[in-house]
Amino acid sequence: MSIQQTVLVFAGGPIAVVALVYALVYASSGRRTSKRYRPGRPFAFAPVWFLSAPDRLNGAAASKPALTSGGHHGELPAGTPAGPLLAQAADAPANQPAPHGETGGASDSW
Amino acid sequence: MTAGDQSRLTDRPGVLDGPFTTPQLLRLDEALRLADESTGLTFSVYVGDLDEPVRGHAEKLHGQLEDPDQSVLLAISPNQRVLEIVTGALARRRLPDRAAKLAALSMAAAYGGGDLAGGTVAGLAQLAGQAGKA
Repeated sequence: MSIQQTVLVFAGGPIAVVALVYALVYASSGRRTSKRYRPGRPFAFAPVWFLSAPDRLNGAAASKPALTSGGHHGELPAGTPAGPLLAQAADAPANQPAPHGETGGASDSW
Repeated sequence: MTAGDQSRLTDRPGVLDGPFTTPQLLRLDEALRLADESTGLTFSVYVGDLDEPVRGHAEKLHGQLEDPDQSVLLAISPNQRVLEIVTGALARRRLPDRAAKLAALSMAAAYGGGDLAGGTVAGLAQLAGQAGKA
């Protein structure tokens, strides 16, 4: 073997393998972390709302509820007729509790 | 899990753009269904930003459910790092605030480690267990 062939086989080969492994690792980890939530990092996903039975949402807004609400937090999508509860809530001051019965529950932060 | 379930999950726009992978979505779906079936209450999970006041916004979302008195809403805001559990008037009798706080604690611990789906599924199971059978 000439010097060039030797260099090609004994240096070029390993370098190619290392480059391939690098590419595989970075390609797969880039894809995996894109969906992962890490505390303290910004969370840029659209709001999602899960129900086991999506028809249990009030009124006509139920067809595609908060899943598509995008930036309209706490507002009805444009052109949606407000149900009686929501109509009341829009008139009420911001701190007014929800118009239905008393609610309980808990809060926490992390 | 059948192909029908999978298509039902994926034909909703926006869900797959959310923070969860498909296996996580399936686990969440299953946890919600089991919680609803075993307790007779309606559980729902909201993941997204909440306006200030956070509690007021969570209660407003809870009020949009069909039967708020029988419903439990888990509202999680990863950006603000807060979570709210809202129980309706009837649900609260079976799920006292203390039980809700306990579930909130374990969920917050999981979220602190970055596990949104796992914490939510565990919280749902804990709440359903506390509420007991219908």
